[in-house]
Amino acid sequence: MAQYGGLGGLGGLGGLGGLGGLGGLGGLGGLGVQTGLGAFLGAGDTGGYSGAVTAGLMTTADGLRHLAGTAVAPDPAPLKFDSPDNLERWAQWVRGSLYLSEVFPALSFSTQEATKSVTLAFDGAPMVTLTRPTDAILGQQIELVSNYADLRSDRATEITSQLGFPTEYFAMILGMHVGQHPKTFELIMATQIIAAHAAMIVKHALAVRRPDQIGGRILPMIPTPGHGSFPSAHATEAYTVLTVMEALVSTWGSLGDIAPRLAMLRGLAERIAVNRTVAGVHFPIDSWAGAALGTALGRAILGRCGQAPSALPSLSYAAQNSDFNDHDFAQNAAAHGLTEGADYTATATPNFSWLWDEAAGEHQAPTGI
Amino acid sequence: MYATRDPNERISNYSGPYERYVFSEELGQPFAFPAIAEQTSGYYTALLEGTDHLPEHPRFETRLPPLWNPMGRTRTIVPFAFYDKGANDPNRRARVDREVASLLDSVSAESAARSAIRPRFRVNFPIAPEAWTRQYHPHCDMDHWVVPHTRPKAIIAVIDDGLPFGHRAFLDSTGHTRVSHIWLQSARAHAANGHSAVPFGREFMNGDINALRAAAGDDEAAFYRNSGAIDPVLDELGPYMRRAMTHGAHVMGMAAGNGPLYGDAVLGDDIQIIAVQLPNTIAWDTSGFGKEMYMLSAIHYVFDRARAIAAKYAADPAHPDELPLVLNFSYGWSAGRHDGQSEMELAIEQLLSERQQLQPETAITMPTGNNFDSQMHAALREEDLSGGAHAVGWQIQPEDRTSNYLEIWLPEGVDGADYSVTVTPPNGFSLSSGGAITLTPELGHRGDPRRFTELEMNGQNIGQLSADLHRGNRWRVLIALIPSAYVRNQTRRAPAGRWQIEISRRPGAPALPEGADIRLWVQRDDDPSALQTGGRQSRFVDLTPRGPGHARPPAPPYRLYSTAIKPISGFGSLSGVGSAPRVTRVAGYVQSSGQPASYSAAGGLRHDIGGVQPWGAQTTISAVADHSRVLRGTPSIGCYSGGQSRLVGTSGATPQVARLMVINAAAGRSLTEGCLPCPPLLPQEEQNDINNAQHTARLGSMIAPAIGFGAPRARSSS
Repeated sequence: MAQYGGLGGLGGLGGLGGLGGLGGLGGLGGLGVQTGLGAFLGAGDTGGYSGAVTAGLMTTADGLRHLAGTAVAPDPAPLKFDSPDNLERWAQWVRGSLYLSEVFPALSFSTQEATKSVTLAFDGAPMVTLTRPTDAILGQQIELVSNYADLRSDRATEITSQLGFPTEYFAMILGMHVGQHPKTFELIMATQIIAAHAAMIVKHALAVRRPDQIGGRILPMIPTPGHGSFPSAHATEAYTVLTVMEALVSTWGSLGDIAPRLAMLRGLAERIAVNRTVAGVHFPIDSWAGAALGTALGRAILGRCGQAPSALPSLSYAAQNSDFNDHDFAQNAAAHGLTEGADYTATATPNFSWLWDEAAGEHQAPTGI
Repeated sequence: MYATRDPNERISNYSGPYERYVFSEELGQPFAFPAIAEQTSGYYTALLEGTDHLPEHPRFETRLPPLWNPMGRTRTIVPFAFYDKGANDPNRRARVDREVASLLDSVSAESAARSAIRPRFRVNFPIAPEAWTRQYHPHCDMDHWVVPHTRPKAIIAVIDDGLPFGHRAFLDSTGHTRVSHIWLQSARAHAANGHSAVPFGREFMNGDINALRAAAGDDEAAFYRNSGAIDPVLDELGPYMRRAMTHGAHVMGMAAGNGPLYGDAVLGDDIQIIAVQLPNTIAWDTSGFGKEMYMLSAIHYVFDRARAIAAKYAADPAHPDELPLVLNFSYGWSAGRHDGQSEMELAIEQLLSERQQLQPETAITMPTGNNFDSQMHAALREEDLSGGAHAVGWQIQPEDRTSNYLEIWLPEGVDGADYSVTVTPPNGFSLSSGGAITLTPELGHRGDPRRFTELEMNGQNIGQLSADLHRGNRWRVLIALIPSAYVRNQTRRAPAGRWQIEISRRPGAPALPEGADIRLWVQRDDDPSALQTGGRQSRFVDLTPRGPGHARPPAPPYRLYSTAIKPISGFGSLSGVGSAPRVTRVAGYVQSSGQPASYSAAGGLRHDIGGVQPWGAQTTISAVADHSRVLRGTPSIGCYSGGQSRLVGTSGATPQVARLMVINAAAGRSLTEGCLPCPPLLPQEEQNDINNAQHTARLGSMIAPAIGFGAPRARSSS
């Protein structure tokens, strides 16, 4: 069946499809929740013909082959060996495998039993350390989650359309179009997939129960995914994309109103994260952890793209009973238990660098000048 | 059964039927507003009537909110708040009703010793402990107020829930807020400079708001978090202001906002705004009784701060010239006396009357309500009682998770001793005790003469049946029923279905006074703000046997008005808090047709041999409530700049009149200038007295022009 699914193609990643709750991934293959972009990313995959077409091609070939004569085929002009120049030729899902292979070998994690924490390292240096929240904090957070349910009727459509990757919401703010920004979409997609994987590693280690398994009043409005609550993968993905897109939009330099768009982008990342609390599947502290993880990962991906910020501080988060919002995350993080530590590094790699250059060329400035 | 209490712990000895029902564990307390049901607060709001001297008692800390009283008159009704210092003692798990009763015992004894008048008390909703400030002093020092760059000529005030006071619609032409003062009644207490000029919640002046806006930049959610309007752990606030729209956003925008939605009906920089945000869950309780202190203290606050603004421009700050003021209060409930003599209506009338003496351009706009076609009002006429008794049906819906209330009012002056009321549950059910009451006093040592009984089924209380001579001059019977669904771990519920309420008169008793009827209302029991109350609206049913043809559909053409005013009628469905004579009562019309919106409540009409006559307070004016029968509601701002809301109902129509009035006031015109004559009857309606009477009872004598998109323009102040 894999050939029918684009991301099924991402493929070797195989298990990904099985991650189900990674939702959008299923959707990408056109098998689950369809998000439009899923269809786009799968477009690079040919799939198979219908039986009738295949039979028709066979009879047509039999009928036409004699017209080609019997000459020996010419020598092929070889493609470049191991070169990014070939990337454009490959189906998008194939490039997806290449991007992931430039990040995952660098990711490793270690756990500390004494502090019940997990450290995710990049290229061997600690990047993010997340400490398991105490039972007392989880209990206190239940009240916040309950109160957020007030917003369910406001946001039900939004929430159910964000079960997968909410790429359309980023596209709306940045005026993106599949015909004009194919590589930007590809960069966002690769970023989200990496973020989702990294989140799963940490979730597995910390193994925190979902709100509805602690408080009976939560009654989630969407299925509770089959992985731990802390950190929120939606928050991780949203903040990874936010970090990468903030850099890309600045590189574009073509939008005349960058500042308000970036403000809305931050607002969107917050909203995607909070929507999961509204739905009843995440604590506010899950968003804190996810936003920290996503920010650090986004910076690592920028490093792979050859765009690393000058400093890549590692981040550590030990939860307090905080509500989550982007203002506190961006301005008052230390007061809520999020601190910076020693820098880590992320060097440039050829495929991500190629993708960045392609996406950076998708600005809307006038051409031919 | 109602457990025996010590005499000084019997709430029935001191207070009215709603308090007894709502605060008693055996009756309605388990089903009440969560803060009452869960007994989480020792802080209460209350009304005092008959004296304006607050009682003193060592166990209780009492507070008067800011009260407007420049002429030093005796206040008929005084809002106050109190704190029971013993309530937080974990070793004392007293019952709410007993707590309240012992409070009233001590304060009424104290008041009675001082005053010849017998004071009445109404205990209202509790206050969240976090909202109770430790540094209260009612003096408003205006320290955080900055002089607007344009001298104010008029003030628009809004009392509502969920107010978007950081919205760009409320900025003046220099980018500074036009919100001069706002009181968030249920926000976490906050004392600037160690001083809070409001007894609970927090107050902001324009200087504070400008600073908060500057600190938050464009992030309005941060503005509301920093100001305490969003507080994730306070039940009364929570994330309510993160909603896309609230009732208060629509109303405040419509009354006081500028922007493309409001066309050229622009409020100039010379109009300042005063606002009060009620507890956001104030719509939770369906009887209305518990909110009066919040509402009345809000009106006093608006008047007081308007005077404080005027004082800033006065040669003698102690005697300023009051500014023109239009206060919009889009709120109400269904039942009540409807004669202007309820506590709230008397208080509103007194305030309006006094302020109009100082500044004639003073108005309070209130909606007529949305109950016209909800069968929530019924009349018993003399002819109905000719056989000695008459019954009306009361349809209780299944799966109703809140209490239901029905009020029966005899005409003023009618002797209750001639009447009795019998309550019969739906077919298949019977009461094991109670169900009949005479309108004679059993209690009355303190407060109104009154009598209480319980409605019991299988030995369990499912309701309360009471009679009281309300404010000493008009008999009321109140039937309170517990929810029809099992809720809150209670093993009792009231059966849903058609209850019968029979009113009997003693043979030989005098007839009802000429032109007067016995009137019945059921209280509102819906959930307009989606607070998940689980309320379902009960209604009246006409039990009169009908002829065989009654099921025939009416023949075309469709007619809005009927040829007779029926016993169960929307004429008289006017809000139970809107009958103060000086209040501007606003109904809703459909913009495309000029005809009343189907739900828009109307003043009372009665039909007898002499024709159709209005009774009670009537609709003053109408404004657009729906664009058309298909495109319902009107647009206004949402909670956040750039967002929109749409609200269906007279609540959204009322602030359009307030807006028009304040623009006129600032321009020196009379308040209703620019209003249009009432549209004519539709062509298919006959021109006759009864149709004209219905038309006027629904629309009033004039209509306000539509505001904003596609509308004939209201005149702007320029």
